Amino acid sequence: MEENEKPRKRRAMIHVKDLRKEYTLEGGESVVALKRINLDIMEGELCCIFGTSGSGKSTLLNQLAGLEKPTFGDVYIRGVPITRLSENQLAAFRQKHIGFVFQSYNLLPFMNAVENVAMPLMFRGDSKRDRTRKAVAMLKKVGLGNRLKHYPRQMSGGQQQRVGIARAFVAKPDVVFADEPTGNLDSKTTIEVMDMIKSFARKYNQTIVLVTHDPELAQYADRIVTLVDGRIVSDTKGDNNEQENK
Amino acid sequence: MKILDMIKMCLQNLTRRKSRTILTVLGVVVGCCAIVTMMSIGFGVQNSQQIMLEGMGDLTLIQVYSSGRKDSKLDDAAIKKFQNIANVDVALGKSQLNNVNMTVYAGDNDRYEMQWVQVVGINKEAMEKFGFQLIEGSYPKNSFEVLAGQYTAYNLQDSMRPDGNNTISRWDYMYSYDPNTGMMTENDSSALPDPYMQLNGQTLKLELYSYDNPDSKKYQDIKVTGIVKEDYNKDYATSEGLIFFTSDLQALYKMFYPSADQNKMEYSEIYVKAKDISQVADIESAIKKLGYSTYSMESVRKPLEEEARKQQMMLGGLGAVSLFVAALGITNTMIMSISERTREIGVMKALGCFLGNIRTVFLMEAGFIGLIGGFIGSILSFFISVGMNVFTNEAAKSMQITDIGSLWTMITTAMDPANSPMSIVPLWLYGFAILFSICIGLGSGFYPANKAVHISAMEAIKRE
Repeated sequence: MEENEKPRKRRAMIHVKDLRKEYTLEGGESVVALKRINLDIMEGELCCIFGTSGSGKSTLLNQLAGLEKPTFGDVYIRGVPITRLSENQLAAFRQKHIGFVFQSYNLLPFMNAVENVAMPLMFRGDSKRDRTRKAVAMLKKVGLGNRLKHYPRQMSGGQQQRVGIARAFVAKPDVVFADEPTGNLDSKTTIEVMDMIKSFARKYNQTIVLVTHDPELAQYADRIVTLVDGRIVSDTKGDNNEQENK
Repeated sequence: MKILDMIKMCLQNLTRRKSRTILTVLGVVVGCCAIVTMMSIGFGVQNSQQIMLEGMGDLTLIQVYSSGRKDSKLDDAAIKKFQNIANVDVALGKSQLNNVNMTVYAGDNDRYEMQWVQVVGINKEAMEKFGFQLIEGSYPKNSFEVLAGQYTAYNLQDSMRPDGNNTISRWDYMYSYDPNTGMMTENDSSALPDPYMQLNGQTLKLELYSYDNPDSKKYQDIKVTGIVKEDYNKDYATSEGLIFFTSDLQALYKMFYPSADQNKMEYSEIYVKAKDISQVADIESAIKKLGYSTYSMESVRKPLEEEARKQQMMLGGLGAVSLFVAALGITNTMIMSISERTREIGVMKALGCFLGNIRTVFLMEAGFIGLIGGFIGSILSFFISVGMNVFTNEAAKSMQITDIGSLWTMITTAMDPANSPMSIVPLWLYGFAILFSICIGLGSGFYPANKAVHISAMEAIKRE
């Protein structure tokens, strides 16, 4: 916490306090997925939440991104207690501050690349001209300037994920959650995609929360938080220390 | 989200599964057609009844009888009382010229004569309001001005021609008899030959005598100011007679019976005309309270109308059932498409789409299915209505279609409400059908839309 007193660069972007999540099974038995998590993720940090399947990393992601309400405890993003917001307040909050990169890309099949990228801006109510301009610029940045009108089914997995990245970053969010972003990609594309995510994050000092079970992917992170059985067992600096050196 | 973006998204969703959307729309089309067609048959029945009743007599007319009681005389006092009842348009008394024979002479040197002319007297105030249709001329204003019936002039006999060849009989022209088939067919009335002279504007000479004293003849000149259209419901005099003011008939009567007391004179019939059909029942009961008996078409019309209404409800109900089935179809389609799109909806939510927007998009989809179905259904029911009417209308069916013009005449003949078509679709019914279909769509989309709203954003994260 002492780092927080230093200049703004080291401000905590995500603050997790005493987070607990239980699920009630059909038989009435309850399972504890997260046991009292306390965690601060700093602004501009590329933080990897690492764990095997069943470790609770996905549950933690759900709580951090406000997709699900915790049983106990709070999550603050930029000081806003997102665990206490209503669905519509959350939607408005996500429009402004949160981006997502999904494992299975989750592009809408009936929209072309530009429309998919512009979608978060459309939800926000931006005019068509405005959002198209931003989406086209974003697609050019991810190297898909020649695929603007292509539909997801006309693109390779790597291309689709690049559209997904463009979509996550188009609204300039403070935090981007990436859930196994390279899970469906080959190793060459994995490197491309991860480099892309990282360069975007660095450029605008954005915070990335990367959830993965792949140790190699974890190596891209500034910090690796390892979960086992719903508990944080280690919290180490990653190999990548660029940010520290800056 | 902007409303245009939502409309676009809704259309994209509908066109993604074209065949399913088309089938669902088809269900609405059938339901909409059923409702419009059934209701139009109901309106057709209602219309035919109305025409039938109107043929039987003026529906706003109440005939008043004396009930036999001393205070229920059909005199001027009674007319005044009836006139004061609320919503009465006019109270009219008809009187005859009793005990006096009348011969009418017309033309130079009284060349033409008429005998046995129908004569009716009508009180001055009621004359214009009674609803005679003037073919030419105007209503009489002064005493001894009269109206002549449409065919009165055909009663003229020419005194310069021999017996048996001294009249122009309109009957010989109005109907033609085919000796081979034994059928009488009505001819176009415009093909009638002209009578010896037109009566409008003519001054006629009346020759009168009383049956008590046939030798003492008296004379009176009258002026015809107008010709009225034949309407047996009003009076026979509209066909082949003369219509006088009551006061003039009384004056003629007094030529022979000077001692008659004008105040004691009674009308042979009194009619009360209501301003509107709906007030007939009230006026009738008011007249009955005054001690008179009444008769109107109301006693026939009311049960018929109720019967027609029942029928219409039943037919409309049948149509409604099919639209209800269509509504289930919409709900089913929407639920299917939502379960297919669970993940998409989750993604939309995760990316910050408001719940209200999701609900609106899905309601729009359902409403749009209703709108399209209602629209196509309305167009289709127009053609169904035309078809039904053409095939049930003998005149239209027998027409030869050679070009667009004749097709148009055939359709307009079949659709003309005056020809009692089987199906009548008032314009508002189309609007109503489309609106109703939209509402059905929205109603059946309500549950699925709610379902969509409650899909969790976590669906986006789930792995297959």
